[in-house]
Amino acid sequence: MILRKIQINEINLEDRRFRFTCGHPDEKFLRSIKEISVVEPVKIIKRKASLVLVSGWKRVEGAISCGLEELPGLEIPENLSDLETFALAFYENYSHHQFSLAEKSLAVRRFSDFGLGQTELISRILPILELPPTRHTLEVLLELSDLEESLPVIHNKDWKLPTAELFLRFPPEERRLMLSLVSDLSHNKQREIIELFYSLKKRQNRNLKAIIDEPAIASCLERFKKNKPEAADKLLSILRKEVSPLVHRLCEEIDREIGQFKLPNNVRLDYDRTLEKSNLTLEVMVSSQEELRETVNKILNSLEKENWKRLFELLYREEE
Amino acid sequence: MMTRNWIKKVFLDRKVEKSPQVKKILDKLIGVPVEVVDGEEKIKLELRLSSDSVGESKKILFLTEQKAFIRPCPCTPGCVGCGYWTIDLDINCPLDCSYCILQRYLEEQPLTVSVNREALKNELELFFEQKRTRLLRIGTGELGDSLALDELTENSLFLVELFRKKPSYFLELKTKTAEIELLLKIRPEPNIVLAWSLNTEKMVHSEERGAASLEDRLTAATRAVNHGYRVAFHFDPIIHYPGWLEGYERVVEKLFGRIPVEAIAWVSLGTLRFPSDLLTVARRRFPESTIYEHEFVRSWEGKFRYPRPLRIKIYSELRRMFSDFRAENKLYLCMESSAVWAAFLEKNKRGRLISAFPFPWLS
Ligand code: SF4
Repeated sequence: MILRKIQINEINLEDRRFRFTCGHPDEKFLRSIKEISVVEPVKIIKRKASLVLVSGWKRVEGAISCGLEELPGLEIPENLSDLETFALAFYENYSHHQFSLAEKSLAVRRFSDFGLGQTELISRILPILELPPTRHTLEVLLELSDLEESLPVIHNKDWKLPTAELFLRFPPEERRLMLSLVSDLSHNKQREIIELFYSLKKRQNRNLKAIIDEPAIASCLERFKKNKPEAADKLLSILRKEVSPLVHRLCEEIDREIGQFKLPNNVRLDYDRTLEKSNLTLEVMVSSQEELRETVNKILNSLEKENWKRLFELLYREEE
Repeated sequence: MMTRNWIKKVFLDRKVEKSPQVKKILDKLIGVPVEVVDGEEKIKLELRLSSDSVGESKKILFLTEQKAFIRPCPCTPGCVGCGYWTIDLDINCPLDCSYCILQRYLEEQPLTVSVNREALKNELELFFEQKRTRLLRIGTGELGDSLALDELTENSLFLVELFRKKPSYFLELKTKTAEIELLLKIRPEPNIVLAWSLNTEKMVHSEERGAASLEDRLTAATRAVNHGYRVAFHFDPIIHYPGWLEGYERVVEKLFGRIPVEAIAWVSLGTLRFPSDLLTVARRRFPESTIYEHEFVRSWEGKFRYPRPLRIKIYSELRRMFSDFRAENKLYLCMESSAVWAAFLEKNKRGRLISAFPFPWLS
């Protein structure tokens, strides 16, 4: 390998055959380049008449943003095949980089395109990527790697394999629609919204557009444009309610009953919101024996009310 | 179901190559390629290379040996247990139910048959020695279907012989097949119970790939009863779908149209439940199935279940259906919380809450 200064314009940056990382230089990275330039050499290889970047995409992008024209480069012998060259890029990054699912999918795609066989990919590469070493995982990753538009979101929000797999079950136009809705949310919210939409679609045998056009959801999506995080919570609560109508209805009825008790402020009534447990918990906050007596008396007095009976009936209710 | 027709390949553990039981099995699989291996790694790799490793695992037979066979059924933490014990003689199942938990538990596990029956015999003798205090139920249908591979292994015959003259140990052979020919050739015993999992015709058709039809299961059960066997039934998983009530009503009517109440040892009820990690596999493997898109809650042990009010409703409807045939006291709930048991027993006015077994009518 030859270490030399290279002109950035010597590199054909259009040729991205070895690129599989999705990160871009952040403020800190750029500041460091401004201070001390690029110190660690990027790796390049000659292909036909031009140089192709093997690793160091972030450094090159950073150098360009900082107006540098040259940077140190390590030229890899051109007799190395694309597969060998890519393996070099992969393992170099592997040692100091936690790959996102998007990057893992691109790595697998490159290995596959450069001729690494399925058995090798499954038994050698997937375990390195800490993914289940199965053909199915490989197929999911390859499919994912083709979703150019979605990969930045999958990378930035650090999606996990099950979320991606479910996402792939939507047809392409619905994926686009969903991404336009959830791209700015946290991964957890994205995951839950995808799951809820999937469940509703299948249960109601409708397409995503029809669900989104429901008045309650549509008005919520309108608000999305103004204040996404707040509207996302609203959307989630509408979807959860649609997916769990029975539990929601009963919880609302129970909350209504509890609201009518007018218990002292130092008493809190609670219950299991999955309704799995049928008992009620009563939390009493007191700091003296006298206060405890007074509070217990108030609770005892309230026991005469019909609401308690209704409350327990609701907690023990059988679906009609 | 002719299991031997769809076994694609046999892997033979070198350790049992000389076993007479292996020879017997291989004689029934003429034409199926056999490869001798030193352990499971090679098989696992082959399965990993398949797009549907679960589906593929059901076509590969692995003949091996095992150290221990008997264990208490783990039930589910927080559930009322039924004191069940299991014998894991065959692991994995050639049938393919959309709700089967084994899809997750036994990924990359071929149809595994342990041929070192002598070890099981010794373990069982020790077990009988140690557990002498009360009635016990023990079955082979926990990690597979008890009879789906019976045509090849004849394990049912071997087991029945071990349980003869052991009246306080019930051997339950639980199946979704109609494979009872071998069992019809031998003398039944009161403690040998042949059990069928039942579901509505619609669910059998859409969710239980490779299983016998409801009609065939009931015909097999009728033949078993006529031969003198005690039978049991498992309504598990009960699936809630539009038309479920009429569906299960028809199953119960058909059941009692054929089987006398006195021939029934027990009937379990259990609604659909599954751990969250089954979802990804099942949705992928059964894209047409809609059973996973129902309203569920995450229950105390992390499994998804129908909300409690719905489960109580389902159980009480089934109880009503059974009481129409004076058979409600044969019922118990499988893997249910004490809250649901309490609601169920309140209506049933019998039994205790600590354990669903021993059943009063058997003791
Ligand atoms: S019969 Fe039982 S073990 Fe076999 S696939 Fe169905 S649920 Fe699973």
